[in-house]
Amino acid sequence: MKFFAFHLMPYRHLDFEVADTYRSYWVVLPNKHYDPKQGARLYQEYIDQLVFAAKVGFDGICVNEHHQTAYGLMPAPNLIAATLIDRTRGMDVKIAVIGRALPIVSNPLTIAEEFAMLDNLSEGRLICGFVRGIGCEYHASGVNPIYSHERFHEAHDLITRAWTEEGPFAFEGEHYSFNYVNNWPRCVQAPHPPIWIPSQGSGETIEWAAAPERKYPVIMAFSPTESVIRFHEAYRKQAESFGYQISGDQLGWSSPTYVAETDEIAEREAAQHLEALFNHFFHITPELMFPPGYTSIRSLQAMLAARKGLAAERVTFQSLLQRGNCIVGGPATVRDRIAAVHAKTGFRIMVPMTQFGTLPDELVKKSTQIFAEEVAPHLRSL
Amino acid sequence: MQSENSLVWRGANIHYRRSGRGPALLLLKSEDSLPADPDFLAALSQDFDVVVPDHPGFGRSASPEWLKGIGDAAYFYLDFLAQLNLKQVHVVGCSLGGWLAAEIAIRDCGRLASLNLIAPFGVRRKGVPFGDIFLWTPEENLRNRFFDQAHAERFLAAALAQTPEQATAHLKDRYTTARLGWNPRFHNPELERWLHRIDRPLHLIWGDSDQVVPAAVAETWRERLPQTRLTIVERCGHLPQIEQPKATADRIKAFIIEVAP
Repeated sequence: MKFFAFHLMPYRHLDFEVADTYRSYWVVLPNKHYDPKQGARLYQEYIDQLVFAAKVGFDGICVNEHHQTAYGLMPAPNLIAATLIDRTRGMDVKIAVIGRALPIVSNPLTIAEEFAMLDNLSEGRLICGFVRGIGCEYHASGVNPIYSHERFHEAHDLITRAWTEEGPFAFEGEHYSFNYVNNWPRCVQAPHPPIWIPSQGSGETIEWAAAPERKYPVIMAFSPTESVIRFHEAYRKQAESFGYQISGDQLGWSSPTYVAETDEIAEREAAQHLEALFNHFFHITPELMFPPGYTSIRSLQAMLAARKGLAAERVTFQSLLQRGNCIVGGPATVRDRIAAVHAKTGFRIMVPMTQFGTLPDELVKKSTQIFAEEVAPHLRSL
Repeated sequence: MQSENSLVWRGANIHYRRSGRGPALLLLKSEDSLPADPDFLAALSQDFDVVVPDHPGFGRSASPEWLKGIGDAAYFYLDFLAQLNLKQVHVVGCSLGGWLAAEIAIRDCGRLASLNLIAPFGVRRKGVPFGDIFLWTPEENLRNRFFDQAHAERFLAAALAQTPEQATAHLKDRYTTARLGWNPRFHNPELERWLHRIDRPLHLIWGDSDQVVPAAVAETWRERLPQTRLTIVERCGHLPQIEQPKATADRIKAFIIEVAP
């Protein structure tokens, strides 16, 4: 099993009482509530946390993309990735951008170019995540969510062709058309950097990612343990229906994770910061989360009926812990939680979110270190 | 007498309702899934042969493959008028339907006699943003459409009683609305550039308290088309045809009688 520390880079200095008075923490939360002095320090703190994870032995460090939100301060994750690449030069550590939201750009070639640059800068340590972005991104970017799936698939084809085919060639798509596709630089990794698909676990995503010509690892994020297991199983079955046996390297699990000396200490230290993530930063209305076309009508109705929309209701730390939306405990507990899911699904990509919500720097580093020293080594052979 | 009809056009089943006698009147509905007001419809049907289609992708009409944007819907309606062989048609368009009416008219006014547009989308006025109907909750979407909240209350109560089939149908309307109007948001820069091609009498009707398409947007229409008649309806929101059905129908009829006796 491999371990990747994941960061959202939330604006953790937010006054929640004020922010709660707005419709959402996304898109419509006025940016006057961002203090650039505090924010600039946060970037340094968060970058240091990821570099720290690399130094204590994580296999990789991960960033991602969101727009116009206090939930994550990385509208341009490749900028952070470039910094991380330089700060980890000479180390055998992967830099994973999981991911870039393909459909919301008007020119996906810039994504092909930037990732190729990062692959060169890191001399082949890059992992590329491809996502559609969450529904909010379509409000923020203005891109029509009706065409989200079409644009994702077309941009994916364009980018992978730009990486693998000799240029220049013409690309004639419905949403993107170019006379000249001719990526300079080419990727260091052959045929191209690994592509991961972070997902909320839709059947369409699994079917697409599992196709024999792709076999992309799918990273299940934020879901209760039960759902993670179910979706890993769905991927396994999908692979079998395509006529091949899945590898554990195709299955990932991302979860807010906190380890301390004991269960009791871990729960006490993590509780309020996890609740901040789920009850505040995740505060997204259904209209922002599911704009028309982002999902099929049928999926939308199923999600609304199940009240699975993020922040549908306030949650307590205990309920998050019980449902397995997070992994919190002493080293033995955390080991057992991860090993138990591995025993069921065989997954081998573990992506702990080592900072979440308002979790302060000293606790992030303490937990990251304990994880690297007392959790990961026991699970590496899985 | 009211009849339910359908026709198949380029593979898509299109539903339309027809009532009344007289000169042809094409009523292009708004995007809000609210039923046409019976008093409004009855008043128009007294004097006109009223044709009320479910737009492609809305209501009982199919969602055709060829519907990618507002221009596709406009060309469809030109063919639709030809299929029904309607001539000298008075068009009444509400909100998204008003936008559609204008898109039809800049392409070809040949079959049209007059246009009555009620709070149409389609043309923007910089500095006067449209309400964000995609951000609003279902309740806000009703409340913000009405000046008199009694109407909103009535439709909110109806929404509570809606069947799963109705809920699905409303989502279908919303999805097609996004298809046509998400970006650019409920306007078409090309439409504004070619508004002068509307060479038929044009009457704009606007609620003074419209929170969806503020009445100030009418100024852009009048700058492009100085002959435009503008009626501002006092104490009224985005849907004069529901808030003041009889009066709105009377205004439309009076305009038509005046310009096309």
